[in-house]
Amino acid sequence: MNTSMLYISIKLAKNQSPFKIIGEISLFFFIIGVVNVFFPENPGFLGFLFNPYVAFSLIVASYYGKYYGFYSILLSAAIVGIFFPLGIMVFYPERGMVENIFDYWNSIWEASLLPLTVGISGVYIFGLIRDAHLSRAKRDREKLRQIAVDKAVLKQEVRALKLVNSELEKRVYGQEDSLTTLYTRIQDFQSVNLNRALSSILETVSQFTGATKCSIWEYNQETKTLELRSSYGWGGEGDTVATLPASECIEGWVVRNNTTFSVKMLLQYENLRRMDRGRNLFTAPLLAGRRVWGVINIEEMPFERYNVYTEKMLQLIIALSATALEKAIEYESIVKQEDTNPITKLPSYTNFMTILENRIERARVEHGTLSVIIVEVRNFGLLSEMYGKREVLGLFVSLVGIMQELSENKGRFFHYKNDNQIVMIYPNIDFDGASLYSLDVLDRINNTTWEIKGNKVQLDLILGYSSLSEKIEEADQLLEVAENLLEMQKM
Amino acid sequence: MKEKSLDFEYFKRAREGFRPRTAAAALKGIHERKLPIEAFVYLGTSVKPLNEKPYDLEEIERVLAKRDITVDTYILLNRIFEDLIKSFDQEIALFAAEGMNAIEDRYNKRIERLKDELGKNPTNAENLYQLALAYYESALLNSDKEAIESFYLREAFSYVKEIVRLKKFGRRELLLFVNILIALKMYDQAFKVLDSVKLEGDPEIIFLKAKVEFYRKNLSEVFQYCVELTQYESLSEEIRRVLTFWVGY
Repeated sequence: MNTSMLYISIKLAKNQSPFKIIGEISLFFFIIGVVNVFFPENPGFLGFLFNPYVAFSLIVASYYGKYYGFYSILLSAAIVGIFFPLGIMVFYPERGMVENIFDYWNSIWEASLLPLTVGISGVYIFGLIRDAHLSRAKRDREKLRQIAVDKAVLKQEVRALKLVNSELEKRVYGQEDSLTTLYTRIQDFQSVNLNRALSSILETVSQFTGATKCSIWEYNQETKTLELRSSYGWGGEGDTVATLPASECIEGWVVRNNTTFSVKMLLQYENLRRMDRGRNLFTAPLLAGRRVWGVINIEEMPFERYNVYTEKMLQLIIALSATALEKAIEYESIVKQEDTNPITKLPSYTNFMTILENRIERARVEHGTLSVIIVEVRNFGLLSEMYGKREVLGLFVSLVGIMQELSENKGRFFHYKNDNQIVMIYPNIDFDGASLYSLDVLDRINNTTWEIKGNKVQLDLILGYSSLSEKIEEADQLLEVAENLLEMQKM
Repeated sequence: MKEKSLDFEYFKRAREGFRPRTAAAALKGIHERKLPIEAFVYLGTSVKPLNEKPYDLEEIERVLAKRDITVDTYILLNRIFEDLIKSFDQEIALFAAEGMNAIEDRYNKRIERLKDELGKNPTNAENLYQLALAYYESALLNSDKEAIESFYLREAFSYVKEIVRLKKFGRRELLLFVNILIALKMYDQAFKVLDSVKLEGDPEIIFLKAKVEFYRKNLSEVFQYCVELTQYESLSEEIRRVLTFWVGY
């Protein structure tokens, strides 16, 4: 009998009352006694090899316990000694059992000695085995109960942890002002297009400060005015002012003092109150390198976000934008609007050479490195014949977009010598870096679906690259190596 | 017994067999004895903000598929979709458009269901509140589209007014009402509403008064309310931050 079976039997036995068990056992043995009457010459089945009285006593002992087993033995003795002769007298009066009762008892006693001994010792041993199983089953039951309790507690803990995990996950993915997000946003500042860089700064400020309306103003030294360069969330009434006199506005005060203005300063300073036109919550100087280039002004923001943390975030964003802003301003001063391609918006080859010379000089001074990557669309002519040159040049915008994204906005793009070529200046990566980057570009380009007027087309690209090194120090050398690599792929 | 420390073996063997993408999937893998606990720990601690570029489209899709999304998350998702819809990759642009549609659809269905319920019982204040809230959240989702935002705000406003008419106006309704008025830039009305209620000693109401005064450019009153708020101990982190700035609390 395995543990679970025993456990079930114990449960059954436990659920029955002792009287019921005794009744059941008595009935059982009474039936055996009745059957025995049909074998008048075999009282107590003592002549049989299999003795039902003993056998059932053993079963009772192993099922209900040794005490019920002993009761079965006593009951068997009573049945064989008293009820059996009575039955014989009723059914077989000719046998004269009443006269021979003492002889009968004597003969029974002698014949039953062995079965009785087997029965008593069997009941005792079976009872002991049953008790041992019972206590083990009790232990197991206790253990099971404890496991069930532990499992329930663990289930609750897991459920609670899952809820906490889900909540924390929500908080993390819903976090809009994390350090990593700030880092990725800062990559967008690195645009050569000053307007794009400025609008990117405003978007970042809006994201990290909750500003719903903000703007950037450039300070004009000659006219002593501030001119609107970029805005975010504008469009309502009163958003028409594009020039401010520096001497009569808070923006001008910020430029002059190179200090951040916060609206609660109006509570303290009378001079600021006089200049206030109700459009400045935070106004901070915007630096290009180390000089104050203009100001950034937050005009509308939720009251809850008007706090120290936001002020610090604003200053942090401004500090992080300074270098990018300086580069974009420098770039803007070199690249004139009329020198850019009207479709691709990329500067011409002439601009490229000017900027490349500057960058090589800077890399030399800073002991840095620099790479150039020339990209050539080999099937440019074929595509131009099919769809027109303008349409194919339109693809260059997406192509530059992909390359810009992969370079994390660090690259600068220009048209190269031929219509089907563009060139990229990639600062601070060496030959190996340029090689890896080129592989990434080819991978992305080949996995992108290109379309012109709804028709899928294939871009057949080749890339040539080179980097500054001990042997390559001049722009001409740099381009020669890149061009040679390009030519080698055409062979 | 000393617990076994986590190791990096999992990452070396991660190419073989089942590779979960989410922490929940990793947890299932651990249940099935297909993954070590390192898989769950790694994925569970590698959650990143949704708006981090380059966007993780699968993660965005997974979050959007959830039903218990807060309005803040919907706003965030909408902002991401607005950015993605400009993508030159048509598949990504389509994904973004579908995402925006899905959000709009959820709000429309919510509003429709609430309107149906309200049709059966027009004086149910709870339904009126939920409808006003659904419209207010829709307005927040469309805050860059002035006309649509204004329409939703006015709808929300009309349902809150109905609650006022039924005289079932509680604290929860008051907060929503004032926020709707602020969103509608009706600052004077918002202040009148706040001034008319007798909920003294409620820091959230005082904070709301400070907020309205801030928008009304009454800085000295903002300062006064902030000073008043310093008397309370159980203030939210958000209020504490503002108080630190105004009164050095």
